[in-house]
Amino acid sequence: MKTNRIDNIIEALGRHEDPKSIEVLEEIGTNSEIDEIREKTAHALIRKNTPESLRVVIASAGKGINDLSARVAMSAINEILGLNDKTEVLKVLEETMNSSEKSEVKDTARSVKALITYSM
Amino acid sequence: MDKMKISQSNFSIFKPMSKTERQEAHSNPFGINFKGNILASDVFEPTKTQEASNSTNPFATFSKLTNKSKMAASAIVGSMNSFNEAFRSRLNSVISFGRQIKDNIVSSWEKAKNTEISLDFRSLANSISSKFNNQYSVNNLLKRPVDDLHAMFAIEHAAYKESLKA
Repeated sequence: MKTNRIDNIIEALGRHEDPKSIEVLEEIGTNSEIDEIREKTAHALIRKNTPESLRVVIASAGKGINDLSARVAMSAINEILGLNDKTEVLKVLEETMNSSEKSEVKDTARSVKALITYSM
Repeated sequence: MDKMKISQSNFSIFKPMSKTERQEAHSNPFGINFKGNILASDVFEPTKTQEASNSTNPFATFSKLTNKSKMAASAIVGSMNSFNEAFRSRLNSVISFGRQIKDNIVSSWEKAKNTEISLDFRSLANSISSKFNNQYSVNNLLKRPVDDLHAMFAIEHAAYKESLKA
């Protein structure tokens, strides 16, 4: 019952038009100790498919595709690969590869970009 | 001239015989089978007497033929009997199937007669309205400002974390 409520709140924040919803998802969802919640938040941010939401899951260390949990990271990558419109994702990945300070984040972005190009 | 009454005549030859009776009725000690049927005719008739009579009997070849026809006839009768048994067993299985269906129908009818159907409109209406008025449904949450969702998310997240610890 409680997880259903959390699922619905994350879903509503993901579909909300207010840009502040991304901040809320980042603050509580991506910083959660619970893998399940981090995974669902990453999905909601990716489905939003805006440059701001995608930056959280692509360019932030320890979040989204850079999550320390392999399950969360792989699930986020899978969600990215499942997007119909990948133009924004490719832009954010390119941006991350060129500007990120952390080499790990850059490498992950490069790998995901390669995956997208091969899957297209 | 003897008069024969129908009531006096012995019709035992038309009576169906069981397998054991058939075996007892003839003098075949080995229970010879012909196509799976025990031969009812006495095929072990003394041959010497026949041979003796053959010398004088001009219709010897005909008697051989009648022996063969006896065998064939007994085989046909035996096969008819086995066919009857098979038919009877199939008929019994069909009858038992029909009985089972009848029993099932009767029992379900009894069950239906003893079942009361009631509709609680109040609880139904409550459950429907609770579905539509659920404040945690995505559609209702979408109507709320992000600040409210922020607070709700924080509360629910903390509660869930606590429930996992317990």
